[in-house]
Amino acid sequence: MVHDRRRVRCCVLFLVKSMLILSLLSGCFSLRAGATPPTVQLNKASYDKGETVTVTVSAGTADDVVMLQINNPSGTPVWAVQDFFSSTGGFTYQIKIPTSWAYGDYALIVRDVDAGSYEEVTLKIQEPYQPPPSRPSRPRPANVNPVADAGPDQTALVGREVFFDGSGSSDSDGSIQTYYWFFDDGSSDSGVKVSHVYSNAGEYNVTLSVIDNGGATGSDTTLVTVETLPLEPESGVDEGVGANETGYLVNATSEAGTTVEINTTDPVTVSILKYSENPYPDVPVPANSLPTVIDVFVSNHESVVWPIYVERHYSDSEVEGLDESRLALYYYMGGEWLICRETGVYADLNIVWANMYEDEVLGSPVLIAVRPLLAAFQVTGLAISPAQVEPGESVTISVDIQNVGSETGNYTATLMIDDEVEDNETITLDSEASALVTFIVIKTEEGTFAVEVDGLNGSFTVRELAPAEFELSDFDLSAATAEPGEEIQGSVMITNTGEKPGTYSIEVKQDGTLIQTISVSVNGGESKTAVFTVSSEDEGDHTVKVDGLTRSYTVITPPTPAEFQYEIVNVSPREVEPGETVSIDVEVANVGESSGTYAFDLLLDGDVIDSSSGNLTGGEETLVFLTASSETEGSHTVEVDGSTDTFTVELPPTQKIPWLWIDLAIILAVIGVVYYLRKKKII
Amino acid sequence: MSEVSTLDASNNNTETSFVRGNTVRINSTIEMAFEYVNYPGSYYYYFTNDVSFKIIVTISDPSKMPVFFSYSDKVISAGDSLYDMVDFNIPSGATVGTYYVKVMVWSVWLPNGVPLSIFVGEMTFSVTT
Repeated sequence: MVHDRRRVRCCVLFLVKSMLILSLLSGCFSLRAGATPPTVQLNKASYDKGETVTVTVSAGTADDVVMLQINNPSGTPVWAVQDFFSSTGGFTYQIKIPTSWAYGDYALIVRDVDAGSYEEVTLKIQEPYQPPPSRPSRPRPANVNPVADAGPDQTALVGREVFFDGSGSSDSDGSIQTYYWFFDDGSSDSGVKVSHVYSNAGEYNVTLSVIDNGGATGSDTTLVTVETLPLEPESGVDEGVGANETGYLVNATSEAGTTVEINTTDPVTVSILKYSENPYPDVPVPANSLPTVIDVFVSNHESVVWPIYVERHYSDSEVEGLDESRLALYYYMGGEWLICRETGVYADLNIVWANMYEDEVLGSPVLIAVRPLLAAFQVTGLAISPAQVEPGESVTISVDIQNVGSETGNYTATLMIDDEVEDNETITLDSEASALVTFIVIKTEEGTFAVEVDGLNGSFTVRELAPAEFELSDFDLSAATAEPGEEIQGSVMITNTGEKPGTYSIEVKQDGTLIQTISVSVNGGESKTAVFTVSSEDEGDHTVKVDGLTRSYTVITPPTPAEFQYEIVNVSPREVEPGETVSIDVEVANVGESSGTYAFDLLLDGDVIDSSSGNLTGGEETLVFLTASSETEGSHTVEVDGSTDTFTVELPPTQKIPWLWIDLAIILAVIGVVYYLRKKKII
Repeated sequence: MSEVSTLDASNNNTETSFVRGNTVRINSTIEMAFEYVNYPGSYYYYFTNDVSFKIIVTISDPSKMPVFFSYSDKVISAGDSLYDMVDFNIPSGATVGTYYVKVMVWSVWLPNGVPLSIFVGEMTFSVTT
């Protein structure tokens, strides 16, 4: 807390000064007589426990220290306060009497330290008076407490004067001598009518304490709600208007170019403030507005007989180029500027006037602007097309809208069907412009519908549809014959000759037996083709019926396919010389029932040396003649599709070596040699 | 007056929030100051004599009703510091809210008393439940 050198110095200085005063005053009560003591007032003559005492001190030393002490009836201090006088030498203190304090007369001492003076008053704490059950003699009439009237609750503005009028207070057996006002912000004032300026927004309980000629007191409290202005006004007038005033004129001509005439039932504060610019810059002022904005503020709306009459003065230069006859007063409300309900202009006096009602003054501030010429709209030419539709079809409803006014404006055309709003559309039209507004309506239910578009009437009908009816046609089968088990596709066209959609079930019967049921949904007037399949394992003719339509097909077993067998039936000659041609005859037989093409290869010793092909009908045989040859001596094999045969290639006889004769000669020679040798007995 | 603080009497910790039944300890520090005058080139100190005074402690409840009033007589010398502690037992029926503590230093009682410090030691504490 007190640590810096400056404050320490202050402490000491004050201490030294205090000690000097102390030394001078010690026990010197008489010294007080030379100084002017502060004035101490209590708001009541006596208090019960739990009540709040308001102590008002005046005539103190401005901005200096004030001390307050309360001694109980025994003279013992029970409370102490140290504070500062205000800049006007006033000091207000409130204390709630504890229940622990005894009843009796307490001494309340207030000291103005700088003046060296003090004042002592008696603080009476006593039980509420209870009259005795009976009085032996006629009592002396008591002084009746005065009744204080602080006026109605008010709303005030930060930095602006708010007026208080205590003239409604009364004293039934005397007169009120003193009026004290406590403004609940540490300041107070005295007088029947006072004003006060609050520095901060908030709620303040303002207390009026009155004292009558017999010293009895009364008090009343009124609530003041202090609000902040949206913008610091450039100038203005605050004026207190008493109760029951008629035609009271608050003149702010020089400060704000405005006068207000007001009728009241209770005291009220009227403030007329002038702003140099729009205090709500986020909300643009109306077109052709004068730059000055005025705030007309009334502190208590219930004290006023509405409307109030407001006149705004303007200069010729301010309205130069404007249609002066159309000037009007506007007020701000809820984020927009609205024109006063009763407003006009005295162009010859340069005055725009308005009878402003309570809601409009709530929306103050006000400004002057040129009243726009309103747009006016004419609706003609209701057209409904078509007039009769089927359910689900659209109906086009249109009207022609023309702005016959002189200003651009918005118009909302409302379509009503059977007295209920069906749709609406807003358009913006310049003066004398027109536009066609079109609505599209679709109704699925049948009936006649009444149409109204902004006073123009018409109707359209949604007619009943013919029920669905079905016809079958184009019954066909995809083939007249089929093999056993082979499926044939059937088709039939179903046409809904009615108007409503419907479902039709067709029954497919083969040879009198139901084989399939098909359901088909068809819209009115449309056709669909139903497709199904039939088949049979039984050869012969079969009948297919679809709801009276008949077709037939035949099941036929097909011929066996062509199958070929090959056989080499002749090889000639079987023995040939190298290179000599051998005829190979191949018998080809189609053992199947169907015609077909055969084809085979001729193999010689496993190698293809020739091939052949041709057509044969079922059961037909044929011989195919082929040839083969080889240069190689020996046996050769020819083959066709597994059928084989052989031929032999041999050299011609002249070309052979006489190995037999040579062998025989050798044998004879050997025999001859053996015989000779035996004969010579060589061996 | 140089310092005022509220302590929880149960542990002597600084605390500003209490509940009913707690004991609030008001701790005040008083410093006896001295004056010095600074002349060019030298300092002259003027010490005061010992001073006797009353240290007064008041506590008001949220409705500004006095709930505690305490005072004691003290003597202090120039340049000394003095510590004073008083305890306030929060009643079981105490109002919940903000309580206002003021500590004043007066010479004697009124009508003759004067404040020995123009500063009043002030602080608040709250009673929550």
